[in-house]
Amino acid sequence: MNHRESSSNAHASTHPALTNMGGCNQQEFLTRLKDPLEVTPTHDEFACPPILDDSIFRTTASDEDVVSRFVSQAKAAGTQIHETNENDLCSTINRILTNHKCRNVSLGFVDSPMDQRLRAYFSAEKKLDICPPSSDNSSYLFNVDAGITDVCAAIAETGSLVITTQSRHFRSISLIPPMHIAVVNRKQILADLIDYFDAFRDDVKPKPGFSTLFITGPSKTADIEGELVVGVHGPRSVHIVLV
Amino acid sequence: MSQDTSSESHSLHLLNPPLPFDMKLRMQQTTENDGSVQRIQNTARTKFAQREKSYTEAFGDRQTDVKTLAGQIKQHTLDHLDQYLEQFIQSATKSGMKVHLARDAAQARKICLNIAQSHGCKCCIKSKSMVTEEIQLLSALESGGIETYETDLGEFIVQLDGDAPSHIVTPVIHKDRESIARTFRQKLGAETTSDPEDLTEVARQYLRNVYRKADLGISGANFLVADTGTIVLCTNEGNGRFVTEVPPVHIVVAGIEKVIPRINDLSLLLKLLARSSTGQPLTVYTSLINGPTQHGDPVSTHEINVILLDNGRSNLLPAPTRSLLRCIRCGACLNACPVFRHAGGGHAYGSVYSGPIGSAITPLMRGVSNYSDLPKASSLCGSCHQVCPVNINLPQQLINLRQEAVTQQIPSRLESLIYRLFALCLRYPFLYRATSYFNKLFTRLGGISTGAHDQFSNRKWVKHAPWLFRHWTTCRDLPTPTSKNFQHWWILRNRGSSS
Repeated sequence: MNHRESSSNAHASTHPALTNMGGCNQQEFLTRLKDPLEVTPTHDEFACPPILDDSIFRTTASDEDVVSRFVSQAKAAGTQIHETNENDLCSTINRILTNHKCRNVSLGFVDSPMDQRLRAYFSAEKKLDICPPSSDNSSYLFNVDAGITDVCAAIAETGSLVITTQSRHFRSISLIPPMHIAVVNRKQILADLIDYFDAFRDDVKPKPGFSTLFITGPSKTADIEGELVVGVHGPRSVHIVLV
Repeated sequence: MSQDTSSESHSLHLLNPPLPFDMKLRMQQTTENDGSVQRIQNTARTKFAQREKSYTEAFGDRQTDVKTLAGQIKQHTLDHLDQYLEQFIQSATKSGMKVHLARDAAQARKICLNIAQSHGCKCCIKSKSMVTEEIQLLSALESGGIETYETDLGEFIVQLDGDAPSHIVTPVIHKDRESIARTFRQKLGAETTSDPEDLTEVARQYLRNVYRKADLGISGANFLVADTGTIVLCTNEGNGRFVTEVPPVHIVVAGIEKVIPRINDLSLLLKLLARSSTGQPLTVYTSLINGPTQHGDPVSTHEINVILLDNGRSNLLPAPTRSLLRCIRCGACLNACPVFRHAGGGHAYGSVYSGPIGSAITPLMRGVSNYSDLPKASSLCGSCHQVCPVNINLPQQLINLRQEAVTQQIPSRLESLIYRLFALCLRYPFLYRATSYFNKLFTRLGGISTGAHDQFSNRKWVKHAPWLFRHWTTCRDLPTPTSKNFQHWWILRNRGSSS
């Protein structure tokens, strides 16, 4: 297991917790825990955590149609689904935007040909402004009507979108504008949450600085008398364009 | 956000009452308003049913296996907590985060203030986090000259009102729409109806203006992943994302028990958290934060600080109580608990953590003699154990705490005298038989004070018991003892069979 190599004493002093803001010394802090834990010299050996037998907690059947499960779960979470094909992609997005009277959009595609395609389409149509990322902060996004992004995966079990990005600005594109449109390829749909995390099984760890978001429907709350309200702080509507 | 000092002290008092805490006295206040008790009942029951439905749909007859496995993973982590914490500190630092350790609340507040001041922060946005509630961070920041806004809708209302959250998942479970509308009109000058949709819109517009100027975000964490140094945060409203994504400085405050070994463990634990607390398959937003944004981003400056807090948690680490630290704060045991539902919600427990889990951890974190009432606030029906996603045997823990309270001589002298007499009577048969005379006497007294016949049986009920026993009948009736006792019945029975 990969835990052994990064086990305790090997790196004890290379990256200790900070004390410059008034925090406790790491050695002192951890020593206080060892007593009640009854740490013995043999305990120092890193025991392996229990095996994650996913047959116990998998919630999807192997013969299930992942696309239809994804569509029904996403709808249940309040997401709107627009099924289309590669050719009609731009016009489908355009239709959603005009139906909602959007005046401008922001694009959050990472190294994707979609970015160029949409830019070309919108500039030919001359209907919409594409807001450029500003140099210092995300505040311009408060005046943008819709954010369009791609995803790195989608989960059928929960109807979730998965977005992984290194950029805080790209993350905000799916958060601040009142509408979020995500382009999902049918091939990107994974059956179960387990299948997404399986990628990390063989010592492949998420890269530093890359954050992952699971988005399951529009922002919602039931804080006031348990009554469901959609659109609290984040987007009021989430649209998935399924290619 | 400023609030008047009297209401601030009121909110502090609710969750940090003068010690020792008197639960009975507090419950007189929390159960005063029938409407509020009813609302709490309804919401808790709905959430309980939603959990049940989504668990059955997802796991069917594997539910016991699922909770056993989740419990084993959390228990394993706690058994090696020192090692996993060290590993987390290591990996989080590698991915560019700054990790600080706080022994207690005061130290955690100091670290937060120092970080905020070193960046010259003036406006802080906070997402809902019970641990920041526990260390009373908000008032510390405000008195340090940093304007602080709660952004979770429920917490925002509670902050405006000078109230305190009454449930770890749904903080304003005790309030009705009218009183929330009144607060918004008074404190924000908003013209709004009491429709939850309108009220939410008022908060949305107000807080969006705050997000633009905020320069510090403070959040809790649902999980800390040791092998990758990842912070996991689950929210439904999206405020948690504003807090972690928009301001240049982000502080995470998390208890040491939040650490889990592997990133893959999330595939199980995330499945359980949302289903247990609201019945959703996954919260709307689940963020896995893997360090601050690196170079080349248009929004460049970004710093993430993680404060790992002990604050009494290590008191729970000895083997008998260690399993209590498995808790992932889903709130399922609160919704399932008949006492929580009837006691008027979380305020009845005088602590941030309420319900069965609060009854078990609060005395251990803040002193058994300070909270001696809490372990008794349970009917030991076992519902909390049944719904717990990480298999904590809460009833057993509460029994252990009751036992500890007894050995610490917390019961009154009178109570221990009564029990000693009781033990004496049980030891000597002639004394035991003598008590049956008291029994008959009591029946007579009962008969006098009641007059109320049970419509279904021939039994009488004591409405007002005399003298010392009167407390027992203030909220319930006592069935009158039968005129024949067991021994009497046994002798008669044997006579009957021999003849």
